[in-house]
Amino acid sequence: NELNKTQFYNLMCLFFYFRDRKEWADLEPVPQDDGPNPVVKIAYSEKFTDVFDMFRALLKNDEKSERAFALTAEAIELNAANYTVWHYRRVLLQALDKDLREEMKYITAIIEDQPKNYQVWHHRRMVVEWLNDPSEELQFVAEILSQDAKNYHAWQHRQWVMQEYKLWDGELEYVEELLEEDVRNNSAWNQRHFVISHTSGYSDSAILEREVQYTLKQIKKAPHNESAWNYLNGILQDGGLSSYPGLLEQVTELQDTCSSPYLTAFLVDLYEDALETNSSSYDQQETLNKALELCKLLAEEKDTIRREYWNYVSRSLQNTYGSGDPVASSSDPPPPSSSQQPDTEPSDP
Amino acid sequence: NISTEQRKAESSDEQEDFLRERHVRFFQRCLQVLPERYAPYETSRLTIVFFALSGLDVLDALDVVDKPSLIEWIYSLQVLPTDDKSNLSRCGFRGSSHIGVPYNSSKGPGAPHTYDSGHVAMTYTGLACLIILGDDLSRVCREACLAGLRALQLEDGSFYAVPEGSENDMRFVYCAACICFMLDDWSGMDRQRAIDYIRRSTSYDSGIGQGAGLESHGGSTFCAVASLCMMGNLQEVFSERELKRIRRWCILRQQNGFHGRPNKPVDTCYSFWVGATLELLDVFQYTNFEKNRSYILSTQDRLVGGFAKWPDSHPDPLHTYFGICGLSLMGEAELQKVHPALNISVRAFESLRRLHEAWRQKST
Repeated sequence: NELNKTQFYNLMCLFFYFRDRKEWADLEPVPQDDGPNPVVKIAYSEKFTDVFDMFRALLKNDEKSERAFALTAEAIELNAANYTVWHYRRVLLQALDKDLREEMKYITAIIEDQPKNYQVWHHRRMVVEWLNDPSEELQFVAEILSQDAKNYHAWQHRQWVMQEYKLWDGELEYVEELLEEDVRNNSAWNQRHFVISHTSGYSDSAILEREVQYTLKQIKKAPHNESAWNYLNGILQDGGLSSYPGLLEQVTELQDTCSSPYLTAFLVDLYEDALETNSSSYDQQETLNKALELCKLLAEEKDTIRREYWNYVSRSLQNTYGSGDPVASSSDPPPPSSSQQPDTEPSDP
Repeated sequence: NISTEQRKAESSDEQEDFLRERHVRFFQRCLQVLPERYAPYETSRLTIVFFALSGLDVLDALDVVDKPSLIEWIYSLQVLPTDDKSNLSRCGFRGSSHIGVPYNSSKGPGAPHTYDSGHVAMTYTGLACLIILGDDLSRVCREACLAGLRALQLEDGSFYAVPEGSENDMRFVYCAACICFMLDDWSGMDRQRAIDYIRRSTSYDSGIGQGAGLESHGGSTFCAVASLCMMGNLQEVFSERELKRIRRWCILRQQNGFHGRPNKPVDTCYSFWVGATLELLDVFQYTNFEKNRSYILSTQDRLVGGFAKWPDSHPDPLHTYFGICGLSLMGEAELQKVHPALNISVRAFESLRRLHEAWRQKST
């Protein structure tokens, strides 16, 4: 099992400093200079200081060499969040015409080890762009998501790859697999919306109905799941919740077995939509009363942590759609017609 | 020998008290030396200075710091225009001295260096720190900072962090808005493009993600709403109906403390990200203060001071700062009020306002 000099000395609890290596003797290390009163000083080990003093020396001269490239790997191992080291490494990758396939292997290993670091994902994106080869990406991201199904960086990279290279096939199936594993995975629900928006879209009523039924099915399995309710609301809100045929009935039917604060809030939103659109299918007064009743139910029973909020929603509904005197709490936000100047208003340029 | 009842009563009282002194000392220690495991923060040390200084300001304990020394150190991080002004698009503030440029507390021109450029989050926090310390920004090369900022904006309206390129998302839109706001100069960005980026980042669930198509998130929602408030455009960009939905998405984030996304665990810092957003939307008053406060205090480290994201976890500067700001939003005794959009004390905000008055008068 062969070890290079660095690894050998590391094992021996000694580090062969770069400043002592003859191949580096021509370079004068450059220390950090924080002046007479340094602040938030990090207590680096000698090894750390040695590597980065040499890195700063290379940067100063803008050296483009194999030894510089090797040093970036050392620096990255010590601090993979240093974006200057990554940038310099990319400059060298191009200047030295390095093997980008090897670089993909390298960055794959680093991301596995540090999947919540911004710089490593950006670096991978750059290499994929240079190679113009996204063929490993979906599998790689799936691997990372199998360890943390909500890793925001991973999802961001996945969406970038899909949109850039038009790789939409199989994604809806992948999303469904993830939702099978965890129906509460909000990232997966978001991805569902992403892939459908960019492929079939929701304008086709058959697609929309399929999605409504799929979501209601998931709600029946796990009623207390905000993600599913947000999705249902989200895909129907443009058309208007109160105009979707059979929706009120289907949701009301769920009330006994699948009750949750989300169901009740959904009904409030549906009734509010009926009021806003002045729908002829709904008796306005009765609809307002139902909405107010549900707000009260949420405030007093189903969602008590948001008691004050649901009371505020009640007051707003009453003021907008009620026929009596306006109900107020002096601290309510003013209605849109008043000229509210935020104190953050800048002067006109 | 105290009875079990007495011990229980005492321990439940213990959990609810805010240990101001301990947090002051925690921030003082941060400003001195950090252990090597903080190496990943080298390029963003200035943000840690911001957490400590703004934190001490909110704790009303800025008297413990050496303001003049800090001001010098911060100015040493400014990427100054070179003699030939060829680096204007790279100007701003660095996160630290990690590049190895010689120390220069903004006295004289910049030394040319191929890899020396500002970082949008460091320009933002650098300016904020100077304001908190009572500096008049007279050594800030405002035009250079604004040129550096313009160079970072993409066609889609979002911003890179650095001119060499980086990821681009809502965090840097916020940093850019703060910079323009603090310098009282919106020529640093194309506001309409930034507004378009924000609108396109709004999710089907009415929360706001880091970019178009991405999952809505408490952090990016704050960045977007706060940016619009600083631009003075919140009510023009979003209809009343849309604002209602954003309020609903945000207010649903409260579990006891707050989380950042549906079905994720709560985390102390979201008490600020989401709390401040709710405050900007005028509905923070309708959240449950007791549960929020209890959660934040459950993440307090009673031994070393500071706050962590979760109970029984290690405190860090970021969660300490945002835990304190989260409490300040609820009017916690002994804490200064925080400006929910700019994320500095109202006191520091007012000193910024006075600076702007002086600038505007000078220009007329």
